[in-house]
Amino acid sequence: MSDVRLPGGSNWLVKGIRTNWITIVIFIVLLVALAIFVPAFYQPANLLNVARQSSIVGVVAIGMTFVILTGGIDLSVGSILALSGVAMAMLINQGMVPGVAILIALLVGVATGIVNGIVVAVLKIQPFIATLASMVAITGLALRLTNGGPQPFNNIGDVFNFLGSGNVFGLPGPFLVFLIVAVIGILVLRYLPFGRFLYAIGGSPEAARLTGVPTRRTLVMAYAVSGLTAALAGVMTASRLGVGAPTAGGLANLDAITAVVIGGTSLMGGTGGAAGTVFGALLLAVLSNLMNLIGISPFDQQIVKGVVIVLAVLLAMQATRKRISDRRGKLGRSGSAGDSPSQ
Amino acid sequence: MNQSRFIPDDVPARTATVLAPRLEVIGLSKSFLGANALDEVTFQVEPGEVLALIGENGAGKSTLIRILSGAHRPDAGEVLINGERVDIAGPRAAEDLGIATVYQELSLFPDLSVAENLVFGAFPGRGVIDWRAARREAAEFLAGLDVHLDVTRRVRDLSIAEKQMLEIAKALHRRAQIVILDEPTAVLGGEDVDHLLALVNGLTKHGVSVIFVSHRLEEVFGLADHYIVLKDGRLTGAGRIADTNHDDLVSKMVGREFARSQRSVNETVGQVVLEVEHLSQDGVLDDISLTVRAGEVLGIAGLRGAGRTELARAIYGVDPVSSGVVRVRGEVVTNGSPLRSIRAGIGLVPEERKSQGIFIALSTAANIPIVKMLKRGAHFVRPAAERALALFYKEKLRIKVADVAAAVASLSGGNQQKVVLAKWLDAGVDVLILDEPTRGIDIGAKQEIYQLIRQLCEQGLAIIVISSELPEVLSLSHRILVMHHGSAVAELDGETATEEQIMIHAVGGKNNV
Repeated sequence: MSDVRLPGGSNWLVKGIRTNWITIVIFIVLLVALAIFVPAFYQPANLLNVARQSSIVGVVAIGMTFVILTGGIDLSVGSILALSGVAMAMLINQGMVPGVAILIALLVGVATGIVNGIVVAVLKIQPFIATLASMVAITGLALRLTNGGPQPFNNIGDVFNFLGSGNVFGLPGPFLVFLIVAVIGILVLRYLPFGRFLYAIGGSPEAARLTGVPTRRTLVMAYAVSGLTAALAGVMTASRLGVGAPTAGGLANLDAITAVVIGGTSLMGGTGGAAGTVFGALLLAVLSNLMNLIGISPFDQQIVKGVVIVLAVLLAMQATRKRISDRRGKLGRSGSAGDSPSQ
Repeated sequence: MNQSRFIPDDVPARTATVLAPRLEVIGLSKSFLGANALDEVTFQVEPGEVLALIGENGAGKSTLIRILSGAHRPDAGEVLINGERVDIAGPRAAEDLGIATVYQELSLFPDLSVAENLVFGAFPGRGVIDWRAARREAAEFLAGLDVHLDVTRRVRDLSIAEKQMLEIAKALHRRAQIVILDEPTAVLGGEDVDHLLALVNGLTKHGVSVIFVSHRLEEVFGLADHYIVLKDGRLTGAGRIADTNHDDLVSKMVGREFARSQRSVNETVGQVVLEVEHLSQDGVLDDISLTVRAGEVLGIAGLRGAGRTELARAIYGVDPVSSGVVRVRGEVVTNGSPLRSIRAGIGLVPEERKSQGIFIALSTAANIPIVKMLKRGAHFVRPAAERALALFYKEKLRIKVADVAAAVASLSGGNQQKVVLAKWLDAGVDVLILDEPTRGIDIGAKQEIYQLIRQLCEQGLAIIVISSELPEVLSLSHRILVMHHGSAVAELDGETATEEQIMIHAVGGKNNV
């Protein structure tokens, strides 16, 4: 084995680009193609629209990244999004100050996330099942609180403007929120022991335990983060619409998971990061915007989206496989069971 | 020879199979990215013969095996089976040619039964599988090999040794004539090794040729007829096992004179650091007491299942104990947690390096500081400092790593183990428990790990070394605790103990001594 260092091996930016290059290439190709074929895309108003469209899913996806890094999944984010929006709307209608109502709505998200985390980490229920159950229950709770009806509220004010629809420094408020959340996510994953522990647990749970990593607490915190970002997305959605709707969650869970996976975070846990997720969310938004611009019907859009997801993940997988086979070749060691000639 | 032309027609064919070696490899070469992984390697294996394939990691053994099993195509050279030139185009072709390879990572279906695994792909019955016939066939086949397994058991529930035997049986069921065993004993304890070696011996009586890869030279001497040694892709030695000896083989492997390791001579063994009193765990550990002093290595020997790993885990606070006390410098840490133990100064280098010792997807730089981070309750991760730290340990422990920012999955076993050790050195420990520290590690790296253990000992650490390799225990330990069936049955002086003595106690024969 030689001592030659790969170029830029130490530089995290280069490394990040190297691990996410598939997403980045697709993204760039898409942007170039747009410039040529759909110049309307580059109208400032449209760009702002894309930014706004990416923000809600993006915020949810950043929190989802934390959970997926541990090898888990959070299906309940859509329901938390709805519940927190409903909670905020109802509290405001009862005369509460917006700031406090927003804070409580966020705490509702954190609390439901902690419950998810306890069910996963302490009761050892598989994350898929645990959050599927809480998704159903939380949706039920949101419907019960509102009797199934949307809760309109007075969303006039700077806070709602920022979170919902307004522009700050020429950028949509929600997009700024997304960027702030993304930067915090990237920093936490990179510079806090908590972030390091997420990767450790996702990659080698047994090694994490033996190394003294507080696995339960870390898992609970991961789901709490996901709950928090989902609730923030709920507050943003409600602020924009002026309504807290118990059905606002929609397919936010699937969109968020898609953004994370397209962004290069493995569903097996242990590898990936929030920067990739930002790209994933933007890519999804650009794609649906493009389809709107060229007049593809919403039904067909879903079909295209499904195909794109498979293609993106397929390409990402091939890149990973290549990295692994390069590694094997270098080592010259016998590989996994898949290399065995028997069977 | 001249007579053969007068022999009737059907006989020459038979003579040919008798005269031609089962496997003949001539001038086999393979390079990756310009580096010669295999350079003009020539050897042959007779029917019913065991050929030991010896070499350090990276010597080209795996490349050779992969060519023979159809995973790689050679750049040059030819392979003959029973005198006929063959082209091993892929895994399927290898199987059709009667070559079966048993890797350490087995290819059995864990949730299917023994019988289902054995007959998989060759199910009895027409259209619908006749399971009764399959079970009968499997049972008879295994009995014929003297492998005693209940064919209805799920493979997941078998021991590693049983799985390996099943894997070998499966190969034979597919009429393999050449069985390649890639370090089959690396993951086994003493008595399991004996079973496996007996099975291999049995194979040769059926005319099966075996290529046996092992790091344990004593097994090679017990089993093989011939040997070949690879170093840097070249054949550096070949011949009859009877004509060589341990030191000769080792010097051919490492290409230098090899001195047997010696325990550190520590005049100043210090105070008792670790005290374990009457430790019990229901059905696993029975009233175990031990002490380890600063600057001392306590070896723990015993057969697989004797409770050695369980003892380590109990001391370290992973698994709860039912009674007893563990003290580090007087501080009671019984039934704590790994973190509690780490803070008290205990470190554990676990048995399963890849799943328990390191974070395989994280980089070298990220792996090393994690224990200290926990021990100190750090608030921030500092990538630049981590990188500097990794480069420091890369130098100090001679970790062969191209890029400390790359995942440790790309390192060899020995270098991964050095990363594990760096992790503990960085955190600072008073007591270091090493469970099978050199399992699956090549001889060169082994020596370095031994050297490191001795240095740590001289620096005043209290060290426990658990090992299935008796020479390892003997060469490192000042005292040796022998375990049998969850109890500590003997304590021997490291200076005077012999392998025989340890084995007598390990198999539970203390009353006969």
